[in-house]
Amino acid sequence: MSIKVKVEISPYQEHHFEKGMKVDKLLKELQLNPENVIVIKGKQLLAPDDWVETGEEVSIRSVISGG
Amino acid sequence: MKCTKCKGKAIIKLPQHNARFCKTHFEEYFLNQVKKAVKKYKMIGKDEKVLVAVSGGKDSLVLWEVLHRLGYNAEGFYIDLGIEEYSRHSLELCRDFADSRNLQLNTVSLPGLTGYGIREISQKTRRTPCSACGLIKRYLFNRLALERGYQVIATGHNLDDEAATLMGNITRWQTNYLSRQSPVLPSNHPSMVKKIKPLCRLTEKETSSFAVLNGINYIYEECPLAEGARSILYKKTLNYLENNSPGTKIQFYLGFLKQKTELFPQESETDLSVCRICHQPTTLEVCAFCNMMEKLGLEKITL
Repeated sequence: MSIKVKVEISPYQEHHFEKGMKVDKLLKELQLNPENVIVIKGKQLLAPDDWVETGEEVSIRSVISGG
Repeated sequence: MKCTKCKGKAIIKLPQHNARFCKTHFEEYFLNQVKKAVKKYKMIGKDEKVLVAVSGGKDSLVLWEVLHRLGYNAEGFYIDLGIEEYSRHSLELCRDFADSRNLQLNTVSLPGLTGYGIREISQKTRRTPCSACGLIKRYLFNRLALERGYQVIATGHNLDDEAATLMGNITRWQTNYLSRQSPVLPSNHPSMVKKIKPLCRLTEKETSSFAVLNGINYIYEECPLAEGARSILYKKTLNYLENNSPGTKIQFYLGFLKQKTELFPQESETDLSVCRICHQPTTLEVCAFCNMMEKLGLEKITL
């Protein structure tokens, strides 16, 4: 069992982590600036101190729109 | 993490305001920021009808939702730019949003009007896709608002958009653009409709969070034609600064607005006349839009 993280930013990526961790730690592990993204579980917005358990799936979505 | 206001569970941290909010107090904060902008910059007058420019993205749909909740008479306008699947999906999201709230959505198709999508227009007129898109949207928003009786055009530009534009204008010292950059562009001609940016005090992270918390489905894939746009580089740079020094973006933007009249005084207004072809306001004999249509071999466009 691992955490499944779908990074919905081009190019699309998928990561797996063996241990549960907080959202802010997860973003650090992926070297993502928390100002650039939001983290979602199902339809729920996750806070930086929310814990993600093994066996759960979260999505990371960019907040930046361009043009 | 506890809500600064009620000590309930916080769902968002806003380091720039040294605050954390639960869903209820985040929404209260969010609506207050919009109310503040609308009031301070005198964006919407009593009984004025607002046309919200919607793209299917988070900012414009959130803006429409908020103006609707605040009791404004706000209707939507979507332009199908003919960007294949991206346009199809974004129109569907706008329609779903409008239908679920029983709101009026006006739509116009660029391929329907001209026979071309934005990609072809950009190639044929030798403009970047973002530049061609900007010109076409500004023109069609104004013309539709005028023809259908809207007094205000509202766009979803947020704090990040405004700060990135400011950074671009400063790095290239475009003082002319700096003097004109504003949350409100008043009507300076009978055929020019006032344009407003009510989300100018809110970050993209906040508008995205508001959308998710309120179940607003939006298109979150980047526009395929905007890849490599300089505005994205500026936004990432500003967010790097923001993460290391919270409050940078709002201080940068609001500080500019406070001092811009003194630092970048507006040059005397160029007299506007009307385009020989479409009668829309312009400083030239033929406006930039009709000029673009001429390059495509097209005559006057009827909405």
